[in-house]
Amino acid sequence: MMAVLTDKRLVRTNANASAVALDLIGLGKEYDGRWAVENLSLTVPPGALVALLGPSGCGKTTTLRMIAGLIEPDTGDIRFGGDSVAGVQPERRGAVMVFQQPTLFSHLDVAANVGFGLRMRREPRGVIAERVRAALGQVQLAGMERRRIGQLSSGQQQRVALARALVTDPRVLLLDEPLSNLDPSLRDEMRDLLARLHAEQGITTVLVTHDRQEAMTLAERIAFLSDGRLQQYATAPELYERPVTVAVAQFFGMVNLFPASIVEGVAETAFGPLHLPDPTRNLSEAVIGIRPEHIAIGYGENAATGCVTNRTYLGQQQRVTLRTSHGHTEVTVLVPADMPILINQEVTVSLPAEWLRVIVPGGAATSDTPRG
Amino acid sequence: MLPSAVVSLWVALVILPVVPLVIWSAAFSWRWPDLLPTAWSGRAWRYVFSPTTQVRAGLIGSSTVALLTMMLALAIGTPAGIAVGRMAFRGKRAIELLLLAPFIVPGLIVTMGIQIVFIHLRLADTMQGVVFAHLMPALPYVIISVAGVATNVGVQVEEQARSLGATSWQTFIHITLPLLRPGLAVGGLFAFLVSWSQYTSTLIIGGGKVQTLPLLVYAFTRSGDNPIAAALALLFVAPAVVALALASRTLRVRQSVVGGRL
Amino acid sequence: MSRALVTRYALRVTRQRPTALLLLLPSLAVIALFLIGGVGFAFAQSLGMFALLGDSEVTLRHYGDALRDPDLRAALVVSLRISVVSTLIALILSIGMALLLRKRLRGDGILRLLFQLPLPIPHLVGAVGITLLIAQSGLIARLLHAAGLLEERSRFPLLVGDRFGAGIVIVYVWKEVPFITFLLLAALSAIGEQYEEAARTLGASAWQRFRHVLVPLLFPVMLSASLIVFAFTFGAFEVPYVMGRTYPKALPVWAYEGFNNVDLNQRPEALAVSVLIALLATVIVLAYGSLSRRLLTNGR
Repeated sequence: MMAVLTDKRLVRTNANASAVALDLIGLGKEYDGRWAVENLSLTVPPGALVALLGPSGCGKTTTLRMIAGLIEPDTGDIRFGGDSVAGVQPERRGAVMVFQQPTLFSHLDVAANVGFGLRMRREPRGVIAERVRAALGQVQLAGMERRRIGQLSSGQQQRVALARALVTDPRVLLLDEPLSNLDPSLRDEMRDLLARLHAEQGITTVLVTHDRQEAMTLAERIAFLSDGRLQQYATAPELYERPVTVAVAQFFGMVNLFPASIVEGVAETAFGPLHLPDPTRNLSEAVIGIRPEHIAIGYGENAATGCVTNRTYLGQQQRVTLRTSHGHTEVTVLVPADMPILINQEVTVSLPAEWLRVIVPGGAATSDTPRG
Repeated sequence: MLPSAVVSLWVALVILPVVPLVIWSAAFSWRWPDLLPTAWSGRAWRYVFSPTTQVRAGLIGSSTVALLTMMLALAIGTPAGIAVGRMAFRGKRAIELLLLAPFIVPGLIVTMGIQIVFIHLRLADTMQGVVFAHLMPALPYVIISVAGVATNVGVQVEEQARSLGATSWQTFIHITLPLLRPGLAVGGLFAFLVSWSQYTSTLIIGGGKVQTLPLLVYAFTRSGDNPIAAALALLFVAPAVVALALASRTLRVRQSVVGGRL
Repeated sequence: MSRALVTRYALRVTRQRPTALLLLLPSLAVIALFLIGGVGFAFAQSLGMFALLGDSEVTLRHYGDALRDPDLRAALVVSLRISVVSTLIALILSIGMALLLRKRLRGDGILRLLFQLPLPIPHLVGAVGITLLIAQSGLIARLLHAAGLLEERSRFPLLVGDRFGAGIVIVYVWKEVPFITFLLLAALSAIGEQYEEAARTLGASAWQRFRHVLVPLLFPVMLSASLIVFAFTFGAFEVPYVMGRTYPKALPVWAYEGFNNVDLNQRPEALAVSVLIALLATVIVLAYGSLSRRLLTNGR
């Protein structure tokens, strides 16, 4: 069982005792000399919902398709519940995929669509009808069996696609950016539905998305991919506060990144000397990062003065960028909206040591304990 | 492995009919059951390329008619293609259907029916008549081709030219026409090939007085002179095959489909 | 400001309409002339007007004569049989070809090019070449003989000039398969692979995917392709003229020979038959008129 995380996470019931673990071991896929996915290893615990997150082209969809069996990996293995599925055809894996577009069969009605997988397995008609009814109820489309696909809204279509996948009792549920095609207002609804369905059914699920918000809301753990490689596999708070690579840091908004060399707990950066909490730390090459909201205005620890270059109003806050007079380094700070800031104003900022994060080059793809 | 093998088999079958044509064209005599002619001869090809036989006349006839048809089809069909490709107007659907009619109505019937009109207009048994008769099947190709290109060349480009000071005519000559060139090239090519391949209409309207290659091919086939018939058939087919092989680089699937109506 | 915009737009639209008509006029005139002139005059002559011999009249007599003529019935059967069989065989082969060709094959440049070879070759030449291939003294018979599988050429099946019209079917299939295949390939690439992938992860086998997903998706294209091929082969004249038997003839050949008959009295009846052929072909193709839209405006 996973350690419980933020209070936003629903308490996960052990609803599905037969849920399987999903193991990716050294997974790799190459196209024309370029590795779309390289040496990817991670484990999805039974019944967990994990997100594959990253910018476009990072290999997350390729990974998903390899799990489904639609693409053959060049290296590595995939295991469902400990059994390797290498060489097993997609139609036999029990890994059902829900695509970005609903991909419903428009010549069949809703019931026939939802019951499709069961029909291919030649389940008896009565059983199919009953399970279709139940599935439609779960996605809040009760009574819509006879509707034609063309009559449905995109939100309804996506829900039918979900029902169609769930009714087959998959070992692994694969969601390829299922919310990207929906209007923002619909997205929240669908997200809640996904969360609820997962809590109820407890199917091992992998969700691919490029949306941070989506990943952080739905997934217990997030695998952040960049350039085909797994950068970090951790919970949302860890990715947020303790990124292990520069790519992760940047993606999650830790935009203040200073290359540094650390001697006796002091990092020499273009910003200036930064005093880290651990005075024994030594590292020839590192990157020091700090989130904009953790930088304080005014004199304090690790302070420097700079000139405001830009100011963006964000509602409750302002995002201010300034250039330090000493090293001409750009620093981004979040300050309250009502603080008077003008372009070219001279401002002093301080970087509290407790919020400074050390990113080691070639950082390990796991979470590490917080140390300065 | 299997898909490749099956396709290769089919392609082999497809090419097969060409083989006897090639062999026959160089045969002196090829009696049953010989696999290859016992005696070869260049007679057929000499005949075909000789300047004094009907073949020369047929070649000239086919080329002239096809060229004239192409020019006429381009002149008439290009404006129509532009209209269809870009403009919206009432009854467009019906007009589109009408413009495609030559694909739908069997040419034989139309030719038979119109012969009497041509007789009255003194166009029967003349080259002009044959050109006009070829115009109907050739025209839709130009229209489709130009329409296809015209939909991509938006009105905006022309409006831009106009706002920079060009008159309608200048815009047409310097902007529209060059941009439409690929469509004109393909359409013109098809129009030429359609006319080149016409048999029935040349036969009926031309009344035997206008000599084209397909008529000769048929005549020699009927007369049993296989070598010459084969050589003629190959000569006859050559331009079309070469042209479409060259054009198939840029030809989209849709257009090669349309070409199948030859 | 909006009022000026509206007037400018209205002017542009109305100015376009007469222009469009002007651009279309020559083409429409030509085609209308031929259609009305061609089919119209054929129809008129079939009613007995513009008689070349004797007095003109307006009568349906020729249609009656035609429909009662047993030769016509025989010809109709021949044409229908050839068209139906050609269309079916071509369709089935094309579906197979399209499925095979849509995964790119190694060296597919050459294969694909050669696959299209029948497209630029006119039916006439195809007929001549195939005749030389499948006749009883044709190349295939000789190959079989050389392989010791065939003694006398009369034992080779009669494919040209036979009752059924097998050779004609072969020519039509040879010519139409690339045509239909490309139509299917275009449809397949427009459809994409996702539906089959979805069905696949839901557990559908290859045959199930073909039957339950691909066939329904391809049905419109298959239907329109079949209708076009059927209508064309039904009204086409050249191939049966070159390859056909003296009796029973294919319908267009029957009509042509009636038309060309020295006895000019035959003409109206021949034209009556032609009009009927044209009518049937037109009705069939118009029954699926959406193809025209796709051809002319790139599917917009």
